[in-house]
Amino acid sequence: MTGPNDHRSPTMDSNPIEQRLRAALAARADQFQDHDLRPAQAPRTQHLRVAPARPRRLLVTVAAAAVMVSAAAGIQVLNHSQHADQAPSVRVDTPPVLTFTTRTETIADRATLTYPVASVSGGAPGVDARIGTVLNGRVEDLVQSFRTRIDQQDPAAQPLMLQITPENPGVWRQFLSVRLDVLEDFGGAHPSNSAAAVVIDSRSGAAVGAEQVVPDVESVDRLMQASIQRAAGPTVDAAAVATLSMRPGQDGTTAPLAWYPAPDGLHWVVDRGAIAAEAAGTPSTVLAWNRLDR
Amino acid sequence: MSEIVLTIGDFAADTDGRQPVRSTSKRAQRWSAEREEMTDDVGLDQLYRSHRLSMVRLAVLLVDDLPTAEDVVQDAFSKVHAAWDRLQDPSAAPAYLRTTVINGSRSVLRRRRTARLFVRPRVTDAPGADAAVILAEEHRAVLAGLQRLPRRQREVLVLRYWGDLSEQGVAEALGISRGTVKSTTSRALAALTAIMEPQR
Repeated sequence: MTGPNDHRSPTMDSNPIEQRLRAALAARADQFQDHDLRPAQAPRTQHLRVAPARPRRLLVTVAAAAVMVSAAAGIQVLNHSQHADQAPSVRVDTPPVLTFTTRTETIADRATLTYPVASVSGGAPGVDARIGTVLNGRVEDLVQSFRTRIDQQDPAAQPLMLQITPENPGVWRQFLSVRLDVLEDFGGAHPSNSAAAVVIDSRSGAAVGAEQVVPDVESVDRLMQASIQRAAGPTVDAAAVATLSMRPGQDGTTAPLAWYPAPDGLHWVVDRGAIAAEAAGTPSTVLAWNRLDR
Repeated sequence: MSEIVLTIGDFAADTDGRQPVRSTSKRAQRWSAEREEMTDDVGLDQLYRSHRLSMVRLAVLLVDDLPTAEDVVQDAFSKVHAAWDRLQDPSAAPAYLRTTVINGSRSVLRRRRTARLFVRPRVTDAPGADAAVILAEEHRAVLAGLQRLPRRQREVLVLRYWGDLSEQGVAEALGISRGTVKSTTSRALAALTAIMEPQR
């Protein structure tokens, strides 16, 4: 058997090395059949819905108080109990809608940038504007960083590319998370994948830090490092993992770590090249909230 | 131009707290959007069923281990899924997928190389402990020689001699000129011959 199209014959190859190469590649490829692959399915369209919280009758009074506070902002809020799965859901009439419009920009026929621009509508005006400013500010930081590095590239490099794709992990308590998957290609080198995350207090529209989400950042950092170490596999560089923290570093970000709260737990994503030699996939882990509370 | 709409608090819990309740005014719009997405999903499912194995094989030939190849291919399908709306011609999807797999494989190789500057490599440059060990000795020698070639030469040879792509097809997949494909192929074959020569 030859390659996937199977329309050429080894006899078409004019010299022995071509024939040997074709035979070796075919033999190697044919070792893998469908049943050798791990079960998987095609990616599906995921509707970006906020997971509904489970109502709890005993907390109706708390929920009612939350409604009174949140109605002014026009934002759905979850309660402040210790467990997300116990949070009563309350609904207000004018929930804000966050819309990402994809913008494509070309710089001197040399680089193509595709990134989202967020707009918020439907909620309280002040909060809407702040949410949009925080989100677009983070995206602009990533875009600006790419622009800066374009100037450092070889002018003869192939077309360069930046693609930022937003993803909504959901809302946990009052925290709205948006994950930004970043694909960068600097031409003749190789593309790289990384992730950034923005966490916003949906009541105020302000960006929040780790200490506002978890009570003891240092302890949670240790849990995160152990979790990442397990997820990344045996090739992980323990010294590099030990430097990861949910607190921002000197550059004002937590890179190469991204973290965000979601209904199913606290998520961490790491740039795999920063911590492991041959980690398969993107090391990412999630710790359920009930485990974190223990 | 595409839009992703995230509605904060658009849904409220129903009585059992599990299923979202939608406002009637938005239901028709959302169902219409979902029907389009279902159509996209069907197309991607077909692409997945028909091309997953060959893409994994391509990635294996480039990165040389199955788990990583599977990850590269799954990531590639995710990117194709994300870009599906921008694909003006669905028949271009396989070529887009192939290029994405190649780019994903390059990324893996680059990260390996970067990491090895800081971390002592494991003994994994040889084929993994999978079925490679039962390859014929001659095939193993050719594949080992292939691994010693520069990345672009290896990619050109894999696409030409396993992928059966034309010079133009390889050029499009790698984003290089047809002339570069021709010269790279020639140099790669010469280098592979030189590597193999002492073993004969």
